[in-house]
Amino acid sequence: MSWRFPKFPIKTTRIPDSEDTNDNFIESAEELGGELNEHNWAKKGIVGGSDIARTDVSRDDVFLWHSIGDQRAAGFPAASQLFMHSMMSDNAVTISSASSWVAVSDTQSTFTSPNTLLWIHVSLQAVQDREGTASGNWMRQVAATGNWPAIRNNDTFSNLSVGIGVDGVVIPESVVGGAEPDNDRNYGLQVGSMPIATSVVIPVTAGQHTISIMVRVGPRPPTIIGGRNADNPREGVDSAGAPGNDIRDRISDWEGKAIVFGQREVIVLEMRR
Amino acid sequence: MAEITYSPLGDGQALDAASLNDRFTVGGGSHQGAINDLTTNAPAPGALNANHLPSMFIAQGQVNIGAAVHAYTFAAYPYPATWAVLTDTTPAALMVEPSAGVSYDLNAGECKGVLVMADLTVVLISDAGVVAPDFYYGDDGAVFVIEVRETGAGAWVPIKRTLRWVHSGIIPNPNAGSPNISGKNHLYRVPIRALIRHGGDVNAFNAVRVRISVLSDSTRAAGSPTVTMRECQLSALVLRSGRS
Repeated sequence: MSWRFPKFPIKTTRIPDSEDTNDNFIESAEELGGELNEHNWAKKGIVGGSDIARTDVSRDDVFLWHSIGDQRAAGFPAASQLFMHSMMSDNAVTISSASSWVAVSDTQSTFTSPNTLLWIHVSLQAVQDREGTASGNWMRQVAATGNWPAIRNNDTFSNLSVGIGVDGVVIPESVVGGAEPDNDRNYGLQVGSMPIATSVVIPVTAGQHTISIMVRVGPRPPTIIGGRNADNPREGVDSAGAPGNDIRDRISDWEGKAIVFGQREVIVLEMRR
Repeated sequence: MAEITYSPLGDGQALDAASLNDRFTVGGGSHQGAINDLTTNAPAPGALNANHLPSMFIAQGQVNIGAAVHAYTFAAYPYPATWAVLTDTTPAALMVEPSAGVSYDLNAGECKGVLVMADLTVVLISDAGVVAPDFYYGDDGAVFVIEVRETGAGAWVPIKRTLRWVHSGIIPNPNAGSPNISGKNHLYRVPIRALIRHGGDVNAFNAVRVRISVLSDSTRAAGSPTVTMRECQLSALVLRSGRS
């Protein structure tokens, strides 16, 4: 609207006139059909003015969040209690080596949204399972002994990739730990204890959506300490020089090896505007 | 917006209160009825701009610890001695208070959530009492947690799901191996993300900080595990938000 209303103000020194009155309202009726511009809103009106209160903008129309997480239920550990088993979430999830992506199933956020942009964060603590203990994995080791199992670096660690899953599909841009592996090796983070976070912004259509922490726990690469088998490059030799450590054998060697996922959180921000 | 059906005043019609009021207020097509039901196509494109609309963020704050190195050492065996606030050598704390003295009600206010993002860099986890290369102990480590407070004078509350840790992972005497990694820095990155909200966390938000503690390898009799930090960032976004 190119003018302020009314066009012909009624003043005390002026006789009201039908034509002026018609002009005031007919033009305003036409302009109101889609031409309200910046002159028709008070500056700072919505932000802090009195005409339109900032609170008139619905909170839900800016950000709407969904969040799910897991943590240690007991009281926060004092400094003197910082052992693995006292720091770790009560509902830690152990995921064994596998060739495919799997969701950390109890940490998923399912909701219904309009067409919108999602700003998604995942944040978690991952720890290598302990290998070779008499009592099995480290969770059982903790239960049996109450001790903090050693997690020193060695060549038995699993590889870990972490990504964000939207309706079961891993978003490639969110993956931490490398790209898809080829047939002969796998990639990923291979450290004892790993704090990890990743995020992505992605548009979604109206409807129900499920956001997940997706992980892929892989076996370590074939041992190549002694070099490659000259007759078969895919086949490594072990530290004693003996051939036969084919990656297929290695995978079978790794049955039961795993990574434990402790404290974790999925944060989904619907950015409505 | 409903279509305005203003019928012009014609010759011979009275220009009085009744004739005007009818045109202003009677029916859905009147000025009153239409303006009280503005639709999305009523404003011209660009009519509402930064002078009118609120920010998506009610407030935000961010702080960096620069290149200054700060070491945290705990000699008490076998447990770490205490928690410490992550600081630089000034020492300025890695703490963000988006608006000084302001406490945001996370239950009934405009903000239902505060997005906190911390990125911490661990240079080296070693034993300050031992000369390189023998200062590595595999289970020496560093633990971090995000804490928030409701008011400027309030107690700091640890957010338990943000507990994160890293271990040295390097066994003693690493120079005996191949490759020789004596003196190697760890250069671990510790990212933490959290949405601070009402229910389970705190009822209000004033500030956030990061605390650190040091873990000691349990396989040795004594030691001075030391964690050396470098650049760290902490930010807090007070979201104009609702919760699901």
